[in-house]
Amino acid sequence: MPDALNHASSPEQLRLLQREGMLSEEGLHRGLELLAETPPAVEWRRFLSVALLALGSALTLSGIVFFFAYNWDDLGRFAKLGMLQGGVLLTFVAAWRLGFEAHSGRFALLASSVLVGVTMAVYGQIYQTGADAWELFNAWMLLILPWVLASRFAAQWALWIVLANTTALLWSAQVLNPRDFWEGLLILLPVAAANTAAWLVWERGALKRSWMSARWLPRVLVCWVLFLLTGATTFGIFERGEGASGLLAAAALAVTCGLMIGLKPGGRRDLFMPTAALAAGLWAADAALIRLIFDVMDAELLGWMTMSAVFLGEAAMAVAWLLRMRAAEVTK
Amino acid sequence: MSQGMNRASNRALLDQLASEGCWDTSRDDEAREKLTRHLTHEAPHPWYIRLLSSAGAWGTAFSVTGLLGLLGLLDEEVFCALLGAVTLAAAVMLRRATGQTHRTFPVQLALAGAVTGQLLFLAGVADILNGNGVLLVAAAMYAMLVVVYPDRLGRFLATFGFCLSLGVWIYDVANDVPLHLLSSLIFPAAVWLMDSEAALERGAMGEARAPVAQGLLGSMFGLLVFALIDRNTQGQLIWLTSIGLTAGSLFLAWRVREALPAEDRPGPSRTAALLGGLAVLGALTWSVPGIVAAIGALVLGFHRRDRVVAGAACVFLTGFLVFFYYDMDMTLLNKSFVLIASGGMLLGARYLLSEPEERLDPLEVFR
Repeated sequence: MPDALNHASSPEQLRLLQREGMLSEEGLHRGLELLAETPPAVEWRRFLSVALLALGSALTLSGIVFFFAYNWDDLGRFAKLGMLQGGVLLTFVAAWRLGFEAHSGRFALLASSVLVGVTMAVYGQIYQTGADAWELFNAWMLLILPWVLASRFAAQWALWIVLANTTALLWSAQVLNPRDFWEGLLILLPVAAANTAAWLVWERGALKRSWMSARWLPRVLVCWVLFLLTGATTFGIFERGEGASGLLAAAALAVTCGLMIGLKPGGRRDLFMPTAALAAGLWAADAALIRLIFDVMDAELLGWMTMSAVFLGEAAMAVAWLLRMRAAEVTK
Repeated sequence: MSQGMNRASNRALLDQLASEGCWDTSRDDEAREKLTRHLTHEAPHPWYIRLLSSAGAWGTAFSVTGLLGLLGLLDEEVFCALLGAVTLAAAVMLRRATGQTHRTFPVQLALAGAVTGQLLFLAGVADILNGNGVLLVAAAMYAMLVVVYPDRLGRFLATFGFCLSLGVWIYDVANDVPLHLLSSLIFPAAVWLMDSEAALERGAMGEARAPVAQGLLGSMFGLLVFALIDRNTQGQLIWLTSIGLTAGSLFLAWRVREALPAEDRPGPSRTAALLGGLAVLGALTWSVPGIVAAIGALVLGFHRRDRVVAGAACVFLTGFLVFFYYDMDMTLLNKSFVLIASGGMLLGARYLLSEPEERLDPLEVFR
């Protein structure tokens, strides 16, 4: 059972103890002083180290990408490819020697993965292979997969997921070549399903592997899925045409929201997930209601009245439900 | 007691207080019971729930305003202002009566009422005054709401509204003086509010400290983004804002150093390297002062272990950096050299700041 004493403290909690007569005025002052202490020097060093490493790596890699995007004529093709392959080798050996547990090793491997893609792009630039863009991203994604699996680094996985999504979307556009908007909408659904599957796998993996416990990646993943499905559903509601694509998107949105609300990996719930699900679900429901009242029924007065009440009621009910979930997490 | 972005647990804090004679450990169980109740019924909502609640309140306010407009009730400006004032007053009273508990419907009703009241009141006053006086009225209204509206989200929005109205008023009356200059004043104010946590939280307005500081930082970023969007009229004197924000960030870095125990403080050479590096960064990126401001906010967020501030700082830092490099008036090749040089400088700084035993001999890698 989670113990409230193990919960992170706050000025509100200290003030509560003082109001209840458990903590003296002097105790409150001392408690607030302790609570407001800056992190110790060792944590500041770690923070600076990670911040400088992340920012420095991002800027250097962007510079390398820009350098080769410029396609400098004075630099021969062997020099270009040699520099890039040397970079891949250098960063990979550095990662190997620094170890994948160290931040520096992980960032070196991430740099290596990025440089693989730049190498392939430069190869295509030099030899004009005529390949479609999706083929570049597909090959890049497959080539770095062993490193991604070995890396135990969320940012490395984020890069791979971005590449997988780019490959899928470009392949859909360049190979399937949808005839109209509605066919394009249908293509988005498998992409959303694959990302949902990736999120579920991540949640399961996070139960056993501490490096997967950071919440930013699953949160970004579900936001992307909800963006795809909510966008498709909203278009389905407001655009006239073959309604089946919109209905399918709405059904997929409902299933995804249900999963996000119902899923409690390891018995613990990340409250962000049901909040995002409720926001997306309510957005779609409100869009349908607005279409029905303002467009189909053409009842403007009724529409403004209804929407005033609906916005107020749904927000209050959603917040109440979310807070009940949070209370259950604290007290169970 | 603490770790990373996590604040000390109640257990660690009470143990420390007990060791100093300020806490009676026999009351642990009683404290656990009270704190459990607080965490389940009264603790502040996470930022994403506040965002959902805020979206609902704005949706309600726009719908109610649309309804009143359709009924023709907004045509008479005095009535509109009075209706807004009454609605706002009723919302404040309702929120104060609700207190800190999570009775969500009255809390949401109060927030929606407050936003609707503000919209109606300001729309009416704007028609009556027919000039920029409405901006001063708005600033006064938002300042009052910060004091009387006992809600984190309400105070955050009121702080944002206050800065916006005051900024636009200054812009209007001071002969098109750029709005971004205000950020040089807003940032030190936010630093002071967050850095003086222990002292301010003891006072009567202690609960307003965090949302006001977050609202100030949000306003600062808003003004700096606006300066980039509207560069023709807002681009002047940007160097002055850069100097102000760099000075603010240097002051913050110095305050952090002073807050560390004497034996843990970086020595003179490292302090000079850190402060000098920050000053050089401010000078190099003077055309986009948001970069140094976001770095300052990131340090502030870590210093106070405020995830919302640190997270927002990361997002804005990324955005400002992308803009800075995109906007450089040079070829892609020269840009790439600048990027590689800046990245290399940061990686070099990391190497120099690390402990000697943590460093890896570059030659050792290939042995």
